[in-house]
Amino acid sequence: MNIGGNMIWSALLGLLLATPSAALQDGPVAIKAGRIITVSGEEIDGGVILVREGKIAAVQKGLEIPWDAKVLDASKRTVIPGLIEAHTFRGVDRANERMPSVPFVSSFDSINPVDPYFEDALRQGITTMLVLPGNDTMIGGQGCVVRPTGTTTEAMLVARDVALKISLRPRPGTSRMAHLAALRRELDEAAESVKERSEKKDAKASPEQDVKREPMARLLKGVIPAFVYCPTASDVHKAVELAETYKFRMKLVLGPDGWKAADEIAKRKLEVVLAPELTYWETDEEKHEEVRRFGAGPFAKAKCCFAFQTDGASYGTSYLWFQAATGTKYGLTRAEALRAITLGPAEILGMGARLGSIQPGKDANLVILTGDPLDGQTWVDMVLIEGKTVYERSKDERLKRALGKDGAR
Amino acid sequence: MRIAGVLLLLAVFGVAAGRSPGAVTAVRTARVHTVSNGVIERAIIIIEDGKIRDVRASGEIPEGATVIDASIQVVIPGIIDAHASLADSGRDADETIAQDVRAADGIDYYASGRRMLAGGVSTLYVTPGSRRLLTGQGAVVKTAGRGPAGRLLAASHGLRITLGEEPKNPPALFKPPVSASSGDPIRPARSQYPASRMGQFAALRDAAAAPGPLRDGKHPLMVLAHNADDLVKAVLFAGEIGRPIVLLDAEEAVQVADLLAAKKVDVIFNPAYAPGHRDVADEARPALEATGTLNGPLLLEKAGVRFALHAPSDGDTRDLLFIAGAAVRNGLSEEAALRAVTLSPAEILGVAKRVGSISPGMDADLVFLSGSPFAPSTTVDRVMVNGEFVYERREADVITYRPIRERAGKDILAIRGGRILTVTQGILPEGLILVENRKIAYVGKGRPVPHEARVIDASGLTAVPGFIDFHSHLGFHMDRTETALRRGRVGGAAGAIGVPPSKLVRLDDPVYRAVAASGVTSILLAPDSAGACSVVKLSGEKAAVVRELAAVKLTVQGGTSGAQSLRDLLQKARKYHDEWEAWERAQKEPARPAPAPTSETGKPPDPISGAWKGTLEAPEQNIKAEFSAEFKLEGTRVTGSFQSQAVGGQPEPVEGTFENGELHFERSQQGSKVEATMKLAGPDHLKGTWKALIPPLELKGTLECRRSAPAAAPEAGASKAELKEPRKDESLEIYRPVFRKEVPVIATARDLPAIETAARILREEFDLDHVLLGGEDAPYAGDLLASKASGVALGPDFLQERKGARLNSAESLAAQGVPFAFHSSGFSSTRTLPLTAAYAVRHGLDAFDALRAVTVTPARLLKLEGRLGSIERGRDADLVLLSGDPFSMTSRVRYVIIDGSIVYEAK
Repeated sequence: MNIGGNMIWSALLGLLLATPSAALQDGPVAIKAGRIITVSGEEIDGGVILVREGKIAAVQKGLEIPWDAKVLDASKRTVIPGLIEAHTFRGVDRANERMPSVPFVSSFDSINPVDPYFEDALRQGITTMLVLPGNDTMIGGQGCVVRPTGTTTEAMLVARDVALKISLRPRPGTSRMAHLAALRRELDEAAESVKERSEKKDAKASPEQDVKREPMARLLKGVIPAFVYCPTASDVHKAVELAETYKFRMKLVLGPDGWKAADEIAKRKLEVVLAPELTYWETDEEKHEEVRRFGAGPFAKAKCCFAFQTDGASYGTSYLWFQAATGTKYGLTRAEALRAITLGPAEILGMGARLGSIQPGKDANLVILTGDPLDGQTWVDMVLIEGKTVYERSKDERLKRALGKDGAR
Repeated sequence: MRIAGVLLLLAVFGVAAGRSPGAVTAVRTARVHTVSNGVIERAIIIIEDGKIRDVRASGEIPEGATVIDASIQVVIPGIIDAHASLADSGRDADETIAQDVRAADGIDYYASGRRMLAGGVSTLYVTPGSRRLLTGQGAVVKTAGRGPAGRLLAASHGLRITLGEEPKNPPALFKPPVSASSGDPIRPARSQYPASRMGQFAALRDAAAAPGPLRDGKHPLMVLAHNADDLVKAVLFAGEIGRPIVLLDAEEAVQVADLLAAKKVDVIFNPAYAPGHRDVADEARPALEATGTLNGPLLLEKAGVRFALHAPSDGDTRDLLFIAGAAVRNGLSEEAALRAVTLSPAEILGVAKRVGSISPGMDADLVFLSGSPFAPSTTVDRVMVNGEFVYERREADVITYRPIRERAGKDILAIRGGRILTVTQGILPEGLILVENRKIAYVGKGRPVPHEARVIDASGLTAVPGFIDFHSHLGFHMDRTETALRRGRVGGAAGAIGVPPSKLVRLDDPVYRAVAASGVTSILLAPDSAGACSVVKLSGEKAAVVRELAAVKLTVQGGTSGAQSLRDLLQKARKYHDEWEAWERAQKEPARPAPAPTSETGKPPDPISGAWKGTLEAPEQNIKAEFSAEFKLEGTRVTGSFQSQAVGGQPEPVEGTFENGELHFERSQQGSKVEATMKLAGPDHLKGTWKALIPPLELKGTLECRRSAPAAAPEAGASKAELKEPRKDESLEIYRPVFRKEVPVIATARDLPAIETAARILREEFDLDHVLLGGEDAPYAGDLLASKASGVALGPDFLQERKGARLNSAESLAAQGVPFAFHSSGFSSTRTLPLTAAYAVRHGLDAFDALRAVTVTPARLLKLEGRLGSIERGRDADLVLLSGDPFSMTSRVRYVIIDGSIVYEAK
């Protein structure tokens, strides 16, 4: 009896949800939302989001729904912008090359569309991520912005080779000083070759383009930024020195104690991706006791643009919403925490005009939740990317199997 | 008083920390050592924007200035350690020449410098790498300050070059191209210079000819080298390429001091003394070679070489002021010593316009001391860097461990202006010590000096007993002697050495006399692992053996297996001891006829045979003494021995009869006669009278005794014929004096379980006197140790660090009444034993406790207090005369006297 009842219910649900999703592919869609967290502006209780051609056309309380719009009833749900991961090296086979300087490699060649990371990201409401090489290689290569849906890398691609990864973490067995010296040598060489090439261009010699050096040239010409991994706070100072010496744009990827350099970072208005471990224990030598440090507070206080990131190391830190919730636990405001997983990372990707908030004109990357985004009991019910439904919990077979017959309520 | 001061300072701290641009701060001080411009009493320092604006003896305090009251404190410039290897510089690049590596890249600018600040060190010179020839550019950096901007004084200063063995034979370089092609092929690994000193200088010449900081920059060469030969070669090379040069470490700079002075070469000198550690020099070189460095600074000063002192390792940086104090103790003036850790390094490092002295325009990096820089218990109370307080001494920095119970009031002993510190009988302000026949014949005042006496005018000096090092390897010359010793050992317990070390060292080894100059007069010479130990005096031409077998060393592990193996060893030793005692006793007994063949086995034991103990009295002479006796009854004839303090103390054979329940025995020898008559007052109980004639004395009185052990049953082989001579075992032989309680056991017990195991088993199960060695946890077992009458021996590493705070084991043991002695555990570091005690005083130990720990306590623990450890009538005349308090850094050793002869006299 019980089993039968459940089967009927799931069939019914499937029917209900299948109908609009098919229709969403074309024509305008109106989402009647119980609550809209726009991130960029006020939260709206009981509003409508109108989506046209993959973009948000309007967001308003009491918006008149056009006659041709398909209506998606989320009146008991909360709608937030799609979450954004500003720095990850998951979703690939191996994150690092062994050679210390490989600017010419690209995560494009490595991204695996069927990697469980992407599937799980979608389940968590992440709609955009920058996949970069890992932290072990000095000049690690280029990264791509992708969406976690599609069967080929091309289909997933939002923007290709948009950033170069540089790591200030010395390889095991080398010192920081030797690492920095080697990095300076690489940058000197690249700067030299840029200079040479510009001189030859004038002579119209049109030499073969050195594809291997191209990424470094694009970095030094300011076309793409570097994402510089600074495992300790002291590395920030060195990153700044490098960026100023070689005149490149830079975003920082910090280690747990990066907050110690928050003043310096704020002074230069640098954008930062915080370490996945937002809190850690440190011996306070003044008081001779262990204290818990929270890495985001000083950045919020200094009004820096910062983003959280995830790792697969533990259950909690694998999820962006969990990172934001942790942030509020240790003193961030709700708005600051939410911004650090939406608009903050969008700006760090240079896509602040297109992603990260629910505003007319932006991509219709929307996540429909059963409750508050920072509540551990909330489920992601549905995800839309550029207006298309790409995830529905009711159809999430793997989730259902994982939770058993009573799960996914 | 001090705590009140700190609290007061904390109140001020809040105000001073909030610095805003243009704010003026005025510091009132008791005294300022400007270093550049002498000492100013009651000086006022005016600080603005993190810089010193003025320092003057008195005058108006500017209006609106925040006033910091340090009027009970002495202010010196922030201390500079001119050679630290902070950051992760332990790892080097592969390249033998790596000019573009910068130390500034390896520094953590946000790290807490509290440990160094606690020693007043506010600036460091950091160089990269240590195992390659030219490892890159150094940096001058502060230990506190806001981020890199606040801390970096010079991002790039000096090219670090290392000579000697370390940089020889670097690895081959292998650099594959990013993607190999015909134009960019993979090349085989390239070998590198240098394998020899020829190669070192060839590689340096190559580097000096190639583009790079060495050819194009203005860096001085910072050359680290140890031996005189390398130092000279480096100076010549610098001259050749026209570069200034600074020598680092340079332990042998003293030998070429004149050359260095002539060429104006600066030295950042390694005094090779690290307080709180076993002697660093010991690990690298034989004892005598290293004895010269403590007075190195003095010799450099005399030669006119500009030098800075640096701490031998990063861990010692915070003790740099104490290390400078050690140079003062070895003859350097206080002024020069302070300069060597402030202004001189600042000048050598090219940052003297910002740090190193207290004068207008300098960074406000100030150290606030509780007293004079080299006074015995001066502490760093607070430190200011860039005008902000970055360190405050806190109570939490010192662990004072006390068991939880009612605290008794702490005795406070004031020692002031003392002349004779007798240790056991107080202080004589102006006294006289008479030495006769190698012994102290008189201590006191008011006796005329015999006209034939040789007189040392000790007015103004302080006399203390010669110091005793409770555990030393002096004369072993690293472990070669012990290896020989092991080879010579004869069977026995694992690792134990049965031969007394005094037989294995050369007693005429000159190290003994050299070390005596430090004030150490006796040492317990011990093997590193286990076995016999000897007490030796560092006297004259030849060391004198005080006691050949003075202690037995063994190792105790905690836990059940540790306890069991200790028990096994001691049971074996006790059995061995008992067998031999029985055998030797039997040998002393006079021959007796074989037992009658008719004796029956079922016969009841006779009432007399066996061991007796009791007391005797002679009321007229007021004598009351204990005696012991052994009797053997055969028919009516009684033989045996009698022993009592009243009649000579030695066991004497006696003969007599036992008839009708009455025992009569006597002994006569050379005109003296002792006899006694006793009746059985009950089973095993004799009572009677005695008399003795020992001309001119005549004694008589009563005596009474009880049988403590009946005679062994006849079948147990009581007869001499059946007692077999036990086999001799050298490694167990040494335990016999231990079981006779003539010498202690020295038990190495490294942790709390081991300490508890050792104290319990040694005392409860075997009742052996013992001293625990190497137990860091000893303070935590204070109650147990006190109840088991255990002693503790503390090495130079008695100061432990727990989460950044420091526990002074010596101080904690003193507070709990556990006797402890200091030791050096070193080959040549015995000479730093007084400094170890001084270091303990510096860290809170009462000076008198420290003195006892190097004099009477080790003597008592070794059961030699009748000869050593105090200035008392009848003791050996081992004396040290100092210019001041024994543990003050400004005191100098003037005379060392051993067995009445002068073995050292300061010139």
